[in-house]
Amino acid sequence: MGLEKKVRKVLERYSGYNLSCEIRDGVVFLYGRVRSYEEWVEIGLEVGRIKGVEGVVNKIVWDGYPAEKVREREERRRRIFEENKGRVVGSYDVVVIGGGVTGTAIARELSRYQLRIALLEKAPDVATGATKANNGMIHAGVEPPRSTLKRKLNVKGCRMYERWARELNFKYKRVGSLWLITPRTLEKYRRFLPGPLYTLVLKYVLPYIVVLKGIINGVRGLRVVRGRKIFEMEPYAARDALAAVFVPWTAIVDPYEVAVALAENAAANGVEIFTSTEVVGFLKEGDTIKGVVTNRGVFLCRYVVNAAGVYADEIAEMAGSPEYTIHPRKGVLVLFHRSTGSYVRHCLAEIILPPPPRTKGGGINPTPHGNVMWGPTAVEVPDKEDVSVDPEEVQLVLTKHSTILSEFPRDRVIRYFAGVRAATFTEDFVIRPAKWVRNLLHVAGIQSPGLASAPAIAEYAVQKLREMGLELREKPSFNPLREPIPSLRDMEPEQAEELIRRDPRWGHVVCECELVTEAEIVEAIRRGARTVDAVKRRTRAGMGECQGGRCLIKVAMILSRELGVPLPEVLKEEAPLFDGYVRGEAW
Amino acid sequence: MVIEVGKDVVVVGGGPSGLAAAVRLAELGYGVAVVESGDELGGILIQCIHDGFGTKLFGKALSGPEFASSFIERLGELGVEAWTRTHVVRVRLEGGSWVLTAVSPRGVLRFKSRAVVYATGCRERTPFEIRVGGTRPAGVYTAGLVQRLVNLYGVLPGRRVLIVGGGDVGMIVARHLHLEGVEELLVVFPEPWFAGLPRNVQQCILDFGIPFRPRTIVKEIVGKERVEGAVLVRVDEKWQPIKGTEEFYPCDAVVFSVGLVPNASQLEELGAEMDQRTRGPVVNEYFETSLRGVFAVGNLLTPFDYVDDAVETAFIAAEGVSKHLSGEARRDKPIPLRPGPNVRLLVPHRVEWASGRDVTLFLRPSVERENPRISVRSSGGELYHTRRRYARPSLMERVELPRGLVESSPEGVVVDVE
Amino acid sequence: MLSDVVCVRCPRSCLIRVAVEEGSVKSVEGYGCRLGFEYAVEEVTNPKRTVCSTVRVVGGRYPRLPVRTSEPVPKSKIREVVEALRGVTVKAPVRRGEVIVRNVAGTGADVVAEMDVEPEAA
Repeated sequence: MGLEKKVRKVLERYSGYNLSCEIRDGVVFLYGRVRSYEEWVEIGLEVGRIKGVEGVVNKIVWDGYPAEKVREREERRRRIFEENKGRVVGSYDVVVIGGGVTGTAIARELSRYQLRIALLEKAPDVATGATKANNGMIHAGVEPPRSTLKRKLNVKGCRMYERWARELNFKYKRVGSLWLITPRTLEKYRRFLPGPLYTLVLKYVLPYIVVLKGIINGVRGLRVVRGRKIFEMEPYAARDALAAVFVPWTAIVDPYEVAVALAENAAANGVEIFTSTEVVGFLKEGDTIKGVVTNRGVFLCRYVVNAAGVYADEIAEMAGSPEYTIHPRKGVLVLFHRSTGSYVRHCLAEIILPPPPRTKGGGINPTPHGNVMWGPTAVEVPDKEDVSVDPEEVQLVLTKHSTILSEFPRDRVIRYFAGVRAATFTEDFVIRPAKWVRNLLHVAGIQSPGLASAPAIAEYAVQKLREMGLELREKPSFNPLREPIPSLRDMEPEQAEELIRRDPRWGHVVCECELVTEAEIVEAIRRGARTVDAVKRRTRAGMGECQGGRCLIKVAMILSRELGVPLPEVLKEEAPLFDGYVRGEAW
Repeated sequence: MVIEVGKDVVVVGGGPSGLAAAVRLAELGYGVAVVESGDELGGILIQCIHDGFGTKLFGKALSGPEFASSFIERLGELGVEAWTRTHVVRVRLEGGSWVLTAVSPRGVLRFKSRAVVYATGCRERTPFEIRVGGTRPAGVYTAGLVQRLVNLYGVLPGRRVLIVGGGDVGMIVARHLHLEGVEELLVVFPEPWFAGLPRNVQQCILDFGIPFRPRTIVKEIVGKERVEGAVLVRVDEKWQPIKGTEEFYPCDAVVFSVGLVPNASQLEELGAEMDQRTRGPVVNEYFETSLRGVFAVGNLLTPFDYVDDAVETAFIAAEGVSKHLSGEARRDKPIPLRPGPNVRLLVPHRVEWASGRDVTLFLRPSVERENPRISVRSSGGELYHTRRRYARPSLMERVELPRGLVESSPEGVVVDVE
Repeated sequence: MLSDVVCVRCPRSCLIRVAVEEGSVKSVEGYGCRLGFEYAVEEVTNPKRTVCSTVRVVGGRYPRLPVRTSEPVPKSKIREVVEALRGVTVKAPVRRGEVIVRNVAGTGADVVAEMDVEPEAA
């Protein structure tokens, strides 16, 4: 087949290494050994780019490949599998693996139908992976290449967000984006555009090319902005901005809030959500999955949806249909104090072509609560759980995006963090029935624009399940509405007064930085938050200037009281905050 | 039904400075209410169980709770209202009066007064603000939080604790942890020696043989869900990391004692002029902010080394409130008090009243000097000077400046350390 | 033998040099006042410290009660004093200054409450 030849041609370029490949149903398996991790990524991407390749399973190893860790992990899974394979938790029509925005969206979509659905999440809460660690941008869909699935679902998903926001009541602001074209935009090509031609192209040609790209991608409404209008729209925009493209569809959300809202609505509509539940294997009969084995026991099922983020490739392999390998790509984001919100009105970016390798875009975004976020970066990392931040990366972000605004209080950083993207080597969403397992649906490789595409991904996934034979009978009792946890911060005094009269805890401010009351924290716990971070994601307690310095102990005490758990056992996310009592004197 | 409370003065913050202001104002005959977000009066002092407070004011070395108690009891004697668990959410000027909207479990309150004294203290600087890298696991805390955990809640942050920062708070917390059962401790800081008081070095560190490493900072925190260790790195005289000196130090908790930042966001939102150096409000000689009738006292101005000095600003501000409420005259043009090149920060920032007390200045040098001269100069020459044993950034200096001298130089004076 | 002591009696922080030979003080130099002189001598011959710690309290707002020794105790006894607090539990109400442990570790000093603790509804 032509495909094998093309793959071999790529591998031959890496002479000196003994690399081999196997192709099965369009999926390329790579074997061999290379020196560096960078080469491992590079080879995978090169092969992934070949037309006709439907997936790359990269079994090449590199110097420093953590063989011991992999062995330990497999051993652990085997052990938990043996301990639990005989214990049945329940019987379901669909089991969704992964509680990020993708898994919760699919679960909620499925809850429209008369189905028994279980959502399995290995962490103590939903949204603890990439979902909580991105910049919350709902992209319009201009950027992805036209022929990709991610482009299609991004454009559709973006348009569906407003309705989601109304039904699920999460904060959503359609701020639009402004892409600045500056003297730096085509710097790499300057020598081809001598003298005044350079500026002319930047001002009068490039903006329309961008608009055209948008139209080709199916995104309407892009507008070219020049001169004074730029500064009317964005007063602190870079003084040397020559032109800008306004994308009206772009919006901002708190991504973890979206996932939490989806999960709550899914649960209200009958989905059973199991947190602290880790998939360690599958029970199969031939090429059909009969049950999903976890640390809690076996979930018998008719269909499985693999929405496991960075672990999707491991799930696929456990299930017997390995069709892709995730190469984790870390992104660092820098968050600024709410007082900086007055400096930014739209999502901002400076168009730089070609996109620089380490930051690959990114920009400056407002958040729904008035903070500002800079970033993200993009760095290939071998460890899926590597969310460490190098202080130099923070500096890199601050330097790189400093050309977007003429003025910004860069010393008001309150936090920086990292998330890991679940990128596959074909760099596109993989949403299709598994090739070698009958009843498994892959929903993998959901990196940016995953958040923006989520509503469309959910619909698309359900459609695929229907095509796979799942009968979808509408549930008349389905209620799309989810009430948010009210927040004192957003209330007028009269509203607050009313609530305090009914429940005095509305008047007890626990987090002073973000104005979060005891009542909100208790409500978050009632809705399933069992850790400090889960409370934080649902109420914002600890997200302010002091980063929990003042409220952490109070939140922990409330958790201790509400959950009936001693204070030293209260968890931050997966580990306890504290280590025992002073002098061992318990209370 | 909103609870309406009308007073001459509202004091926001029930810590030592707020209490001192309220006490002095009540003694002057004004109707005062104290509004405190926390559950009790006393502020940060309640968790400061070590002694050493009040040596200047009372000639005694009291513990934090004991120092606070004397003010709390006096407040009770004077019959001043204290609203605890009450948090101010909005401040407006309405028809010449300050209206503060607050929430409490009892309902929504509207405090109306002609003057406001802000005494909201400081918060702790976070590791993010000093660019510490790595992960963000359980077990990373600031020293004040740990002090509270250990002294009031009786829980330990970890068993092998790394303390970052050589100031007083860090040393005191090191001692707390040592006495309360933490087996392994290490204190690191970028300076060549501890920045805090010699008394604390002796009584917190040397007495107990607690290990410490000067010229060392934390580059990264390591650990997925819980701290597993920190990457330490040596620094040079400019606090720049020396490449190649990185070292992994295993521990299960990292406690940052890296400075205090004034809780000035409400004043900032109100539009008060702010001082970039202190990160607190700009104030005149009676500690009144650029907002007429709104005063700022205590650590909210800038962190003080001695609570006695913080409290002094509150006493002075109380007099200022009195001047404001009596309608005394202010100058047409304030006289600026400027920090010289060897002064890192200086409060107050100007003399604004037409007449009044001598000026009590607080400053932090940016240099280390033996036998320094603190001098006050005008364009015409030196107006005043005073000598000290030595000057260090970690030692706040207090200078009493005769008012007449400042008034003789209306274009302003410069205060410097030579 | 020479010992350098930084006086803590007031902010002047005088650096005082004490010479000790065969267990008795031979000279004291550098003190700024009588308090400093006394402090330096004591610090070198029989250093004392105030010990501040906490004990368990039941029925108050917080689970711990800050306590202190009523007067400084010999430095060598600090460990014993803290050990003597192990397991000590008091019940709210507590008054500031109330004696929690009498003559702790035989030092002659008491351990007293640093603040009032009112009984609180759970």
